[in-house]
Amino acid sequence: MEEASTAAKEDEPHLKKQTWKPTPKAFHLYSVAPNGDSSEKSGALRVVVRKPLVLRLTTDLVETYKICNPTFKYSEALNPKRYLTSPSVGVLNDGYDNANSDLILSVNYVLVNAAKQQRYIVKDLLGHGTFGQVAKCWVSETNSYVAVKIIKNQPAFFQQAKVEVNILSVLNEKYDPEDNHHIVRMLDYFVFQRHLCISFELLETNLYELIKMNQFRGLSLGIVQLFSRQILRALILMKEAGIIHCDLKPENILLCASVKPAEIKIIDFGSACSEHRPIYSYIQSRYYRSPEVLLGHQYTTAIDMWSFGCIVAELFLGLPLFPGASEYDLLRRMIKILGAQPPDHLLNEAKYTDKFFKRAGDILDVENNETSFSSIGSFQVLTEEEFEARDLKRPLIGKEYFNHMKLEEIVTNYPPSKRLTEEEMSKDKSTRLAMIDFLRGLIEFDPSKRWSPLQASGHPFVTGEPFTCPYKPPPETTRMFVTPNFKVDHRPAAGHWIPAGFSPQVSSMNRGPAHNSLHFQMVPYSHAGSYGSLGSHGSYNEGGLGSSCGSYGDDSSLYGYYSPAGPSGLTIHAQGAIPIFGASPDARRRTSQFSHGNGLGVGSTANFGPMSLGASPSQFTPPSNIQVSSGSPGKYGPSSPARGSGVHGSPLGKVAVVGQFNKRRSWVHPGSFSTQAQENNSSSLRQGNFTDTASCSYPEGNARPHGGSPRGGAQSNTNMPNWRQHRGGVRFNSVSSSNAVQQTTGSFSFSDDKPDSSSIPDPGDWDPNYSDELLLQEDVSDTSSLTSDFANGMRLGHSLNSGVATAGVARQYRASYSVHSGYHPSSQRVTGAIQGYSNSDVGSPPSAHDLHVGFGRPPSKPSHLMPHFSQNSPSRFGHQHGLRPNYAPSTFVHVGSDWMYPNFHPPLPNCNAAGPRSPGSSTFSNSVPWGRRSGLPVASIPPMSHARKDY
Amino acid sequence: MFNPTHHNNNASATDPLFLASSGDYIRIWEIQHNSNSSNGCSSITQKSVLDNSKCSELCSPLTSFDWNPMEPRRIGTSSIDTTCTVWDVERGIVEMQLIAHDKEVHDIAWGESSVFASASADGSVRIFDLRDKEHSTIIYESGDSSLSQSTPLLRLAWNKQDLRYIAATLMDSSRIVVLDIRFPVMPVMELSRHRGSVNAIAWAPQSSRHICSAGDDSQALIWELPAVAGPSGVDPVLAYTAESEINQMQWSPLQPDWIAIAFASKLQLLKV
Repeated sequence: MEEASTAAKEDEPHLKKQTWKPTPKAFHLYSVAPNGDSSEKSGALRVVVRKPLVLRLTTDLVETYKICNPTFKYSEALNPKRYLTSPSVGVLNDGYDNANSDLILSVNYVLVNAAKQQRYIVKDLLGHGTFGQVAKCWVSETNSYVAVKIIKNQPAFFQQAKVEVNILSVLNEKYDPEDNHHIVRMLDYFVFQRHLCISFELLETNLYELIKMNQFRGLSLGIVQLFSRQILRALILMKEAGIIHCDLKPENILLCASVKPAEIKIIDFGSACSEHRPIYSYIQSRYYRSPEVLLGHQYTTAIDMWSFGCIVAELFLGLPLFPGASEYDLLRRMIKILGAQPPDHLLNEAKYTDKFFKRAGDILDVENNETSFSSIGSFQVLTEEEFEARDLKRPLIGKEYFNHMKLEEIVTNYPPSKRLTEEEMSKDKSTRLAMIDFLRGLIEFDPSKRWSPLQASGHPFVTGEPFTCPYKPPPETTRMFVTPNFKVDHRPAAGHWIPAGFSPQVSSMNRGPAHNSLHFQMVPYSHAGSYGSLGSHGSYNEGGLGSSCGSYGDDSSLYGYYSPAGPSGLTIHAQGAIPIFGASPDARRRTSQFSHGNGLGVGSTANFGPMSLGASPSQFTPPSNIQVSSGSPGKYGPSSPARGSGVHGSPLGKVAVVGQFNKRRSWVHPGSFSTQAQENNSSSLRQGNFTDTASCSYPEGNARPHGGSPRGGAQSNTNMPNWRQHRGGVRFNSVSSSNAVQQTTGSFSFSDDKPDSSSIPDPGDWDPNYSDELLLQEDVSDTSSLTSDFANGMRLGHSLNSGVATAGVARQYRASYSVHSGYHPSSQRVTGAIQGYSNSDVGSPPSAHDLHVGFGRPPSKPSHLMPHFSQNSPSRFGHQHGLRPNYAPSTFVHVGSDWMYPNFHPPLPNCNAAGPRSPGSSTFSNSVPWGRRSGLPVASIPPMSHARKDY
Repeated sequence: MFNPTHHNNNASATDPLFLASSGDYIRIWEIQHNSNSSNGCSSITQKSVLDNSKCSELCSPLTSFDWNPMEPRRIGTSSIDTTCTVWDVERGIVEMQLIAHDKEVHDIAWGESSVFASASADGSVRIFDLRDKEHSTIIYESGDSSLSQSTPLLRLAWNKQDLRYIAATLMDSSRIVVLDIRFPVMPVMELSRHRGSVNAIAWAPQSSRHICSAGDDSQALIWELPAVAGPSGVDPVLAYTAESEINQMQWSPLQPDWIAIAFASKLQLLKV
C-alpha cells in the first residue's frame, strides 16, 4: 500500500511533463479490427514460411550463423557454468566433489537415478549444510520441481542419510500413506556419483523465516493454533511409529507450496531415531532442548513435545522462549520462566545433574549456606559463580528478551499483533489463558507428566473450544522408557561423564547417578577396562591428563559440559572411589572415549566399507576422529585440545553450526569460532582421509584398526587384502611411536568399544548414532571439545549398532566392533578385540593411535594424515579424537536439520549431550559416532572407492 | 567480416560520431564527415573490435547490446553463452562478464549507469547492479511460477523516462508484458492486441507512458499506458499497418517525433 501511494505521488510530476501526445500522422487511430482480415491472413501465411527475423537473431542465432558460415559451430558445453556449489573446484571423487566432499553442482547439472532412469535437473540451490546440499531440481516427466538433498560423499553422512531414508519410508508409507500428518514426503532416493540423493516434495519457507519476515513479531493466535494442530498431528503419528524427531524447531517446519492455506510440514529427519533405540544423548537444538536431554537423562518422544511447546511459544512471541546462550543459561532460563526446576527423580538419575546442581548435602557444607536452599528440595541449581568455579569458565549468559520472567506474564503481557476491539480483546485474553495452560502441559520439566501428543490434542487451545478451567488430559498409557539395555548405554556414559567432570567436586557428585549407569556399562566394558584400559588410564592421566588438564583449563568448561573424555581422567580417580567398578571401569570408559576417537576413527574407517552397502550409521563416526587429530594439535596447542578438537570436530558439524549461530544467534562466538571452524574443516578433511584409510582396513576386519598400532601394522598386512589397510597399518605405527600418550588413549577407547559391542546387540533398524553427533555439535563452540571426546566413545558404540542395522555395513562395523566387544561372533571381531586389548596392555596408547594413523594413510592424501598425527600431542589425541567423533555425529544431526536451511545448524549443539552420554551409551552411541566420523573423512578420499563398492 | 543477417544498432552518438555494431563481436566504427568532399559524404572507419572470446575457433554470438546513455564508456552485450559482458569502450577492455542466466541471453538494456536488465531464453528478466555482482533480481519469469517450462523472452526495453517500467516480449507471442521493477514476478499489465508475434518494442523517448510495438501482424501500435489496466486489457491509441511483417522498429531519441520501422526490404520513417 505504501508503495502504491508513493507511486501515485511520483506519477504526478510525470503527468505534468507529459504534454506530449502522439498524433495520428503516419499512424491512424486504432480500431478494433483495422484492415483486419487481409493482413492477418497474410501474416499467418508468412509465419509459416519463415520465422521472424527477431527469432533468427535470438533463439535461432546459431542456425543463422551456420547459414552464413557453414563451418560455424557452437556448443553449449562451452558456456561458462554457473556454479551453485562453493568451492567449485573439483578435488575429490575424480573431480566431481569439492574439498568438502560436496558434489559440485551447476545450473542444469543433471542428477540421475540410474535404476529408474529418472533425471533431476538442478536449477538452484536451496541450502547447504554439514550433511551436503539441497538443490531445487526440475523433473521434466512430471513438469514439477522437487527438493533433492545431496549428501556429502563421506561414509558417515551417507550412513546418517540412510537412517533418514529408513525413518521417512516408514513414516510415509506405513503410517501416513494418505499424507495427512504433515510430515514431508520423500519421493525418491538414489546414489549418484557416490552421493546419496534424497528427493523430497518441494516446500516453501520455514517458520523461522516466517517469523523473521514478520520482523520477529509473534504470529496471530489463530495462526499459532492452526500450526499447533498440524504439528500435533505429526507428533501423534511419530509417537505411534515410535520415532523421535530429535530436532524439532521452527527451521524444520515448512510451509507447503500447496493450495491449502497455511499448511505446514515437518522436515529433516536426519537426527531422528527410534524411541527404542535412542542412541544419541546429545540431541535437539539448544533452544528447544528438553531438560532430560540437557541433563543427560533417558529420553522418549516426550522430548519432541518439549520442543513443540517451545515452538508454540516462539510462534506467539516471535522470539525463542529459552534462548540459552549455553546449556547453563538454558537451564537457568527454564527454571526462571517456569518457576520450577526438574523433579528430583530426574535429577537423581540424570548424568549431568552435577554439572548444574548442588545436592542438598553439599549445600549444607557450603560456607555461606542459606536457609532458603532447603525449600527447593535436595537439589539446588548452581549460581553463575558456582558454575564458574566448578567449570573454570564463566557460563555464557544471553540477553533477556522478556521483561516478565514468568511464563504467564510473558504470554499475558505480550502486545497483541493488532489493535483489537473489546470483543476481540476478551477472546484474545481467554485464548492466551488457554495457551498458557497448553504450554504448561508441554513445557513441563517432568517428562512423565508432560502431555503426550494425543493428550495435548484434546486441549481447548487446539480444539478451539472455550477455555474454562485448567485442562486435565485423559490418562495416557504408561510412558515408554528406553529399554534397560539402552539405559545402560546412556547412563554409563553419563556416569563417566560425571567423574570426567574435571572438577573434583563434580566427580563426587557424579558418583551417585553415574554409578547406576556405570553398572550397565561396566559389565560390557569390564573386559576392556580391566586390561589395558586401566593401565592406559594411568598413563593417560599421568602424561596426558596432567598436562592436558592444565591445558584443558580453558577447555575445561567444555569438558564440564559435555565431554566425557576430559572427565574421564578425573573420573578415574573418582571412580577409584566408586564402588561398582572400581576405578578401572571409569578409567576404561574415559580412556576408551578418548581412545575411541582414535579407535573409533579406525572403526569408522571400517564403516566406510560397509557404509556403501548399508546405510549404517557407524560410518559417521569416522569423520569426527579425523577432525580431532588434525585440528587440535597444530592450531590450538595443548591447552586448546578441547577447543581445537571441538572446532575440528565441528568442521563438519561445527562449522555449519557456527554459521548458524552467526545467522541466528550472533552472540555465540561468531567470529573466532567461525574462523576456527573453517580451519577445522580443512583439518577435518585431512582427518577424513585418515579415516578413510581406516575404513579400508575394516573390510578385513576391525582387527586391523586395533592391530593398527604396532601390531596393527603386521595384522593389517596380513588381514588386509586391501592395500589401503596396509597403508593404514604402516602409518599407524609411525604415529604410535610419536605419540605414546595418545596411543594409550586410543587403547582406552578400544575398551569402550567393547562395552559398546555388548550393547550393540540391540542395533535396531534406526541409527541411534545420530544423537552423538548432535551432542557434539551443540556445544562445539564451548564444550565441543569435551563433548567430542565423549561422543567418540559413544560413536564407537554407534558404529556397532549401525553395523547391526545394515547388513552390508553392519559387517564391517561389526568387525571393528567385535574387536572391542568380543561379543560379535565373527572371528574378526574377536581378534580385533584381542588386539585391542593387547594393544592397550602393551603400548596401550599406541594402539589407538595406530588405528587412526592407519586411516589417515590409506587415503590418497597420506601425507596430510601423517602430519596431523604427529602434530597432535598425545594427550590431545585422546581428547581430540573423542571430540571429533562427537562432531561428526553432530554434523549428521545438522545435516538432517540443515538440509533445507542454514539455520538448522544451531541444533548441532545438541550433540554435546550425546557425547557425554556416549560413554554410557558408548556401546551404541559411541560406536556409531566413530563410525560416522571416520567414515566421513574417509569418504572424502578412500571412501569414494568404498562407496562405489558398496553401491 | 560483418554478419549480413545482423542489422546495425545505432545505439548512441557522441561528439565524434561513433557507431557500434554487434554480431560475432562488438565493432566500434567512427564516422568522419569529409569536409573537403563537396557532396558531404562521410567515411566510416572501424575503430575497434571488442572480442572477448577465449577460444580462438568459436565465438559466442551476441544477441544484442546496449550503449549506456548515462555512462557512454559502457556497452553491455548479451550472448547465447548465458553471459552478459560489460565493455569499457574507451579502453577496449571487458569491465566484467556475468553469467546472467541459465540459458541464452537474448537482450540487454541499461537502466542506470551501473544497472542493466537482461531477458533470456530461460524466461526471466533479471536486473543486475554492477556494484553488487553477486546477486541479481529476477523481476519476471514467464510461465507458471513453478510448473511448466517457461517461454523464452526475446526482447526487452527499459523505460528511460520512468525507470520503474520495463517491457519485454515473449517468443511466438503477441503479448507484451510491462513490468514494474518494484513488484517482481507479476507484470503490471499485458498488451495483447497484436495478432502476430511481437518483434520489436520501444518506449517513447519523450514520454513515460507511451510505447510502440511492431510485429508479424505487420502492425506498429502505439500504446498509452493507463494508470490502471482495465478488465478488458489495454487498447493501443494509434496503429500503422505496413506492407508486411515488421522486423525492427526504433524510436529515435534525437528525433522523438519519428519512428523507424523495417519490413521486408524496406525502411519507413513514421512521424507521430
